[in-house]
Amino acid sequence: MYSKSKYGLSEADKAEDVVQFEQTSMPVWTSTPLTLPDASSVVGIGFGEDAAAQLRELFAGAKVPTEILVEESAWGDGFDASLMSLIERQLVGVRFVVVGPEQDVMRAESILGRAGAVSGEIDSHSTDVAEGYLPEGATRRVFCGYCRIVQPAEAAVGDAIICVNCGASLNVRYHFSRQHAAYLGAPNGEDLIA
Amino acid sequence: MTSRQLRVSAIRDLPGRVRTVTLEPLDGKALPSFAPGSNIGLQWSDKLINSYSLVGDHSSPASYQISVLAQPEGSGGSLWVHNLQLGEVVTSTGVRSAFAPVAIAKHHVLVAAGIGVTPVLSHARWHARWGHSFDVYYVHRPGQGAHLDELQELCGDRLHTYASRTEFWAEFPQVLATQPFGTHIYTCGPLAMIDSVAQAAAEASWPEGRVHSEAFSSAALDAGKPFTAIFARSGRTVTVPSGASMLEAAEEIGIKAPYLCRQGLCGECRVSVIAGRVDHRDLVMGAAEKEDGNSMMVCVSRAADDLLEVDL
Repeated sequence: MYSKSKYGLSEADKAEDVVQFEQTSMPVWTSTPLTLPDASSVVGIGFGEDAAAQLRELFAGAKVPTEILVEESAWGDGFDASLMSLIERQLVGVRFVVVGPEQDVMRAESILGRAGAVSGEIDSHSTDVAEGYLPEGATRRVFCGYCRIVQPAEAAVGDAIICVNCGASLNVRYHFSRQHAAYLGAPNGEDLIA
Repeated sequence: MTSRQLRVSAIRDLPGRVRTVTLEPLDGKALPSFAPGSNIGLQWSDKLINSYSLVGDHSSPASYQISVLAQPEGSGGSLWVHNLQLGEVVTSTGVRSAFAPVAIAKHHVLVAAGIGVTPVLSHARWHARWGHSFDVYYVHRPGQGAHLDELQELCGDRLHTYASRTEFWAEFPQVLATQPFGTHIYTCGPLAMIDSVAQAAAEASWPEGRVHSEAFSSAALDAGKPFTAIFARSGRTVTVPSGASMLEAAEEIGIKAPYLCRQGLCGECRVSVIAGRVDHRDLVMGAAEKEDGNSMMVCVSRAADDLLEVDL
């Protein structure tokens, strides 16, 4: 579903570090142990069984009410509805601990943000990158700037992919949208001219 | 900031030594709409401007209304307002918004103590008009609740009144413990009230980002130690004596610095700090911003050490 393209950043361009990644909107992760937040109640959101097990261990012996939502993916049918119904039951004083691959964690953050979460209420941990940026070869979500759908792609920032929906040639950019929980796939115009 | 000439067109007395003054534009031009919780500054002496919350309708208003508590012990601004006569012309600043409702909030908890009701009334008007979810908690002395009638009309059973802070605190911790996720809280009143609401919210695990306030009086500040001020842009160095502010020291040598309230409430006099640590004494900046120390309010804040260099 993806391919290198002459319009992607070349290895030479990347080596020259033309983009200061720390000044982009890409999620950057720091390796920190899971800790139980100081709160009136805590909600865990885990993607995959490993994440769920980590949350169960973290919540064991908690002095405040806790609950855990386990899902395979944040992108499947029904995820929005189950997370929203969970959020609607919460009171101010709650903290969320989210564990899973970047693409799922960021999607959960996006829904929490739309439900009015503020700084300090979400503690996110990525299971596919412990430190720094999501590496090449990992699956990331890409927003097509042409047909506006979000798709999974095993692509690095700087790679080119072909949109699974509209066939546009997209350049995966270092612009990450918190709202779409996806990297921008900028149409490079190649096929539009032809 | 755009100043505007306004004429006093109506005066109405409310319970509790509060007077509502209606101000019309002198030039007959339309007044700008404003965000709920906005204020205007009225120039009541050569150098002094006091800010008052706009309590009237915010959408295409024909006039602005302010409600002012007479404070005989104050510095004189409130009594000046109370002495205004019908037809008198006053100079106001443009409208400033520093206490607006949070657009993404799912529910709004508004807390008013005494004359702190003024921006709360403005918020309640807005929420009632747009059908937002909100509650008002109003603490006032018996029989002295300014704007109580209007609030009752706007809020119905969403208005909760208390005759004392003791009564309020008997109920309010339970309110804090039972708000739906997405709620924001706004307090306007004396500093002690704002601080105790913020502290109770923190104890109930509310994050700082959900807790908002507007103070209408500053804390009594000590005179402070003398220090050396370097005004880098003007190339001047002066000693700021104990009891005088950095703003006054700048004005003394003819430096024009922006200001409005001169009490650390409005944020108008913020300047960039070039060198030196700041003893922040204003109510405008957040804790993180104060920690960064990149800017300061020169009307109240001082050097933490012996020297402060600013961009003035």
